[in-house]
Amino acid sequence: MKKELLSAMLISALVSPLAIADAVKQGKEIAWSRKKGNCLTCHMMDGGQQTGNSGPPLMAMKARYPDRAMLREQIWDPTKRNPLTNMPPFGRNKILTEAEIDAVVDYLYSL
Amino acid sequence: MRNGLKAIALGLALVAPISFAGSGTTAEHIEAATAAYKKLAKESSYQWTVTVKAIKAAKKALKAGDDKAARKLAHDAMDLVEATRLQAKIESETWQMRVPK
Amino acid sequence: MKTIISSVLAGAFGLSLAFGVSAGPFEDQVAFQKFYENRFPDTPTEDFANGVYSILPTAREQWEAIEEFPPYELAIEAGEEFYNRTFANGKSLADCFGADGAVRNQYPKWDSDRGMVVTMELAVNECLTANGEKPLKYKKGKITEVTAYMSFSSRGQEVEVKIPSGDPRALAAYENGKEHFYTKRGQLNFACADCHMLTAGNLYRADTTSPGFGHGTHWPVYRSKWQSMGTLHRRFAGCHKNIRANPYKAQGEEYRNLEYFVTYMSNGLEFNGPGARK
Ligand code: HEC
Ligand code: HEC
Repeated sequence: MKKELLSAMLISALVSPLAIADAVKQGKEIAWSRKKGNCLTCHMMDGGQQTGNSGPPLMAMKARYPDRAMLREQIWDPTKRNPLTNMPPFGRNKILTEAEIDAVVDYLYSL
Repeated sequence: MRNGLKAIALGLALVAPISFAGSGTTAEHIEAATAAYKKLAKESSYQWTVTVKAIKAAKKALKAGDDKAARKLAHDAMDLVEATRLQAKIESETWQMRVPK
Repeated sequence: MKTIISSVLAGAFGLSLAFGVSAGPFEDQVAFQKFYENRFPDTPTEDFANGVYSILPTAREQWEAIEEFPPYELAIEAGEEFYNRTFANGKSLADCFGADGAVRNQYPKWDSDRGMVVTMELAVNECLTANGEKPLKYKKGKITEVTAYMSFSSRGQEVEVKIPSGDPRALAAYENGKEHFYTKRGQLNFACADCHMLTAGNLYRADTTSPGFGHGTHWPVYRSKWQSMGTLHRRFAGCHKNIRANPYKAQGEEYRNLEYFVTYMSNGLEFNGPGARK
């Protein structure tokens, strides 16, 4: 837990704020795109319109997921935690690339 | 370049141990991905559109003379077949959980 | 495949009962229908034949207005004409399916001679080819007109799909369709059951998913999005494409078995085709 926080801090110290802002912007594009993340099909988030309601609203992600690895895993393969979920395993099924998933996580942390 | 080739060879050895040992022309890589897709679809009936798309794009790139892009697409297709295979395996173990009792 | 064979064997010898593990088709059907009745307590059972409108009062009014001047009316008329058209050999479809084609409740049926599920669309084409006529395409066009007419003639018949207990291949076909319904497929990793059972009635963007109970009753359908009529297998293919699964062949074994399962699950409802959907 502490380690994760520390490394997150380290990373943010190393990466310029500008680069992070860039990743967040990119992450938003991926998350909102119908061809890519299409998260709005199931999640209310970030003021998006015409959102679905299968998943919980995505907000306050930093408080809910202090552990970045856990948040990433929920996107990479949510069926591990819940085999009955309808959320697609974006990493396991190669819907998004690893880099795209990282960008989406950056974006989620901005919510 | 050498390293790149090695990495590809390793990747292929991992995903397609039977089809070929890592060498071969790009056309052969595309063919191997196509064969793997068809074989899995026949055995399990699991088949993804994106795999077919990747194979088609690989053929198109090869025709256009872009060997590097074609090879990457062929390997993408093979990765997708492997992900499909994993899906079929996981589902064979979990689908009963969805049936109402 | 192995599991299918072994479950068939188990069923054949009544072992499944002895162990109390896997229930038979009838127990499946009872649990399936109960699932939806519990989830949508305000929906009268017979109303599940009306698809998403059975659970979505806000869309129902508009749909009922559409049904007053049904968009499938022309298809029924064209279908009737085609139905009564005389073949080159002097016969017609009426020689296969009777004066008005009211045979909807006989399909899908298990053909024990050939060991396969026969759907109404397949039977129509077999009648045509047996009489030297050209078969029809299976997803849209003429086939939807003929079956619109036949379904219309059959309105009010009860869905009563049978799985003959004496033929383990029939049970295997049913089990195959059942497994298909419940397994996640396509790159997006969805089972039919994910959208039409576990989250039936949820919003996917702007679309509410219909209950799987009732999926087999009202075909062919005039769909506004298609701007035309389509068969059940056309709809299957559409749902498969949406989850990035390569669709199977219309009237191929995969879809016929799926139809066998889906329609069996709707036993007891009324056939009410053709239908109109968004
Ligand atoms: C088809 C519906 C669906 C789609 C599409 C979807 N999700 Fe989900 N998501 C869910 C459901 C349902 C849950 C509830 C937990 C579970 O079942 O895994 C969930 C849970 C989550 C959670 C955990 C929330 C919490 O409060 O614990 C996160 C984070 C998340 N999703 C992110 C995403 C992102 C990012 C995307 C797009 C890249 C996405 N989801 C796309 C259905 C979906
Ligand atoms: C991602 C969600 C999703 C999945 C998975 C899905 N469907 Fe659908 N399906 C829909 C939506 C949305 C509609 C249109 C609204 C509705 O349900 O009538 C629809 C419509 C249908 C209809 C027409 C209903 C009617 O009343 O005319 C049928 C039949 C159907 N689906 C069958 C299937 C089958 C069989 C599968 C599995 C192979 C499947 N669907 C998978 C979302 C899905």
